[in-house]
Amino acid sequence: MGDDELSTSLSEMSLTGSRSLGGIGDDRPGSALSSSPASPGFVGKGTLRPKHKQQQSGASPTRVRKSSSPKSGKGGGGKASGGVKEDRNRGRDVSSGTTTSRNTPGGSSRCESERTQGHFSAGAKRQGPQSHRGARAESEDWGRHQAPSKMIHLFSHLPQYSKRSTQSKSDLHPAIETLGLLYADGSVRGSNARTAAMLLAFKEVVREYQLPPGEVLRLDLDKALKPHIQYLINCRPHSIAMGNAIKWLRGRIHSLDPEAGPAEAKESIVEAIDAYVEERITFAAKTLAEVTANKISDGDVVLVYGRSYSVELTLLRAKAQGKKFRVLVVDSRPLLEGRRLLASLSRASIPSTYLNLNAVSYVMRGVSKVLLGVAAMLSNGAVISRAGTAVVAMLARRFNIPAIFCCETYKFSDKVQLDSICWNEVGDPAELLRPAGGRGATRQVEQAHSLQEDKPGIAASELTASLPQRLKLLNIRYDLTPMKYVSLVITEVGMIPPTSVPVLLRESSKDDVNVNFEF
Amino acid sequence: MGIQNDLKAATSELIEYERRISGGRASISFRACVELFFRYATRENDDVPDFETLNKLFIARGHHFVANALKSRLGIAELGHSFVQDGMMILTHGRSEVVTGVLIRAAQSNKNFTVMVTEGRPEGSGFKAAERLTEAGIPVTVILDSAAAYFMERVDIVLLGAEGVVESGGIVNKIGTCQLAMVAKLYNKPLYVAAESYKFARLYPLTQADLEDNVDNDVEKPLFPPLLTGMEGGTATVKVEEGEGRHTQERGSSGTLLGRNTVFDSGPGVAAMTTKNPSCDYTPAQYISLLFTDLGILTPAAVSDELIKLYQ
Repeated sequence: MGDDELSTSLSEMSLTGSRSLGGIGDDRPGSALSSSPASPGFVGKGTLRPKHKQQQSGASPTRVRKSSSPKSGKGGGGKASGGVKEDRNRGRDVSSGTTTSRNTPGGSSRCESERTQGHFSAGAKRQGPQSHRGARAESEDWGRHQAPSKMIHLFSHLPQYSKRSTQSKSDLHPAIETLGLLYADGSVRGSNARTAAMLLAFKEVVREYQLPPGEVLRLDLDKALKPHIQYLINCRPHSIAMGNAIKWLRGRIHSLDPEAGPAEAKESIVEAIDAYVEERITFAAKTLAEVTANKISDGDVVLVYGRSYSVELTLLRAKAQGKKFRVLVVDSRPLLEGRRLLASLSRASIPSTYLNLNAVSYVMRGVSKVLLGVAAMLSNGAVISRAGTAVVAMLARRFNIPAIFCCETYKFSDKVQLDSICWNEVGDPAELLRPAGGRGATRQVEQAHSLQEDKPGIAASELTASLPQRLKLLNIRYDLTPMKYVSLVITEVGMIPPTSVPVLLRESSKDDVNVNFEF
Repeated sequence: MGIQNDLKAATSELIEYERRISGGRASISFRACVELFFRYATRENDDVPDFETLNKLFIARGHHFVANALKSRLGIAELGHSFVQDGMMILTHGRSEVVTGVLIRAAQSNKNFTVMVTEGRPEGSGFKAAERLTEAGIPVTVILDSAAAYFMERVDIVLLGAEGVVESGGIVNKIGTCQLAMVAKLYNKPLYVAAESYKFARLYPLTQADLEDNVDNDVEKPLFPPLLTGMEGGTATVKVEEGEGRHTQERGSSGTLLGRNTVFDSGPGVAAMTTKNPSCDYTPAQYISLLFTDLGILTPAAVSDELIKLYQ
């Protein structure tokens, strides 16, 4: 076991953990959230709409924001039921922060400099998609300034980051607007959290939906949902799991009994959504964790990558079962999600080691199991998950270590994909240049990082601006792990080999209403 | 609900009994069977109003199970024998009723082939299989377990039984199966597994260590008994010729099969030695070409499909 040098004592870990935890929600001080409601009773949009970009990291890079409660934005079905409410609270925090920041002098002059940097896709992001609300002209500028030379040719078919806009076109339900902003700034992250939050927001939409006279509910409700769905996708491209949930919801609406009264029909949809979140996400994750925890035995060294909600649940469950095992948390830039997992493992007194993806080949020989999260399980047995997963799985295979993937069945997709290029998500290119962790990390960490210390007062964007013209930045979110690197898929219905994904899809689609929607 | 508890109690009792008589652990297929019956019992429970009918149903199901086991063995022989062709050399490991069934069925359809059987330490089950096959007029060569790689180049197909077929499509079988399968894979020889579908178990071992209760560390037991007396210095393979005389002689010499090992008993330092004697190992699906089952000829991936259908 060569990783002793790498291991940090538990106390140190918890220190790092809590530090990073403090900043989970920190991310960018989303100015866009300014228009998000201050309370669950939603304020009409535009009330707090900023005229221009406010100060951002550039104006005061060293500024330490008080982060909202560490819990907020914590992903996962387990929190699903309360998710939206928490998110709202978060929105409140951030928006109040923004209000103060808007008063900082020099806002408009900064705006100028930003615009000049706009043609760098990386620099563009710093403005954030949020700032587009009410700054339509500016956003169009971006579109133009997104020089083609800055696009990675191979990924040019994907929605480019800078083109995203949280600007809402029509009257949207406030719950959806809030959620969209939370998606965009990364405070709701992870398939489970995103899907659950989305469904719960849709529930609000359905609940407050009023059937216009002379319309058929099951047709009109679907129509009414469309802009909401589109808005969420504009904020951040939807994951495959979310696509599944949307498809399911629309199928559910279409198959409503035409005879039923509107109130009754709405109630049945609301109930169905609750049931979906409960059965397919929350309960599924719990059951899955239970099954997976049984696979961990005393003396195991479990390697995990990033932070997956079901993997976290599994480790905590195994600990609760009294298993004695060690965890190696592998993390990677730019999101550094693993720190949150580390914090939670430390709280549960699970001996853990924290390392970066580039050290994985060194520690792999001492590992006995690899546990990985999944964004989507495709019907050819391939796994789509956070970028870097494929590397870990391949390395595990090289060392003959079983790579176990934890996946709720709602993430199963009948798609087939052979590489990570056809479908992916392009993240904020500027994240790559941000000293430590960008969105996921705390300001404290950023400060501590040498780049900022070397050049105090210089923002990431300015660093970007000084980069060579021909430099392109690629920050993709997902990658594809081919089937041969998947030893086992654990779902809430049991353990299956990756070859059996189509069977489960077939079996589960028997009871589902099958309506084909483009999503 | 009462009957469920009774069944549960009976299940654990049965497994305990099986564990005792087989010396250490209950076989996977046994447990799979019990689970399947239990599954049937719990599912059927709701629809039947009175206990009398239920009782009858259960008993009928039990008989059905047993009858099915025999029938499926014949079915597998019918399906599998076409994979055996004239002039083939077939390697098998240990004793399996299903495998002998397939081979005998092939011999009955006038195919000429030879069979190579590993002796199957420590209990020498390969000899029992060889005996059955020679009785059926099939030429058999018994080889050492450790000689599998030596003979692999001459082998055309490898045909194995299984104690249990797990969800990944891999098998749990007599110790030595995995290494045999690996060698076969390396030589690109097809490896077929003949197993009844009641051996399909909802297990998913990832490593050998996942097979619980497997390693027998009891030093009191003679772990490595000499199979054939006078084999020291002799040839590694013992030809079991056709004909009663020669055959019984071999049987006679393997009479010491389970006797104490005199060679190792007396040596110094024996007490300090540790021995390990796992009775079975796990062969991952990647080494298996096809499975002959009563559900048809399956690829390993199809096992999980069948299991999902069975337990859904």
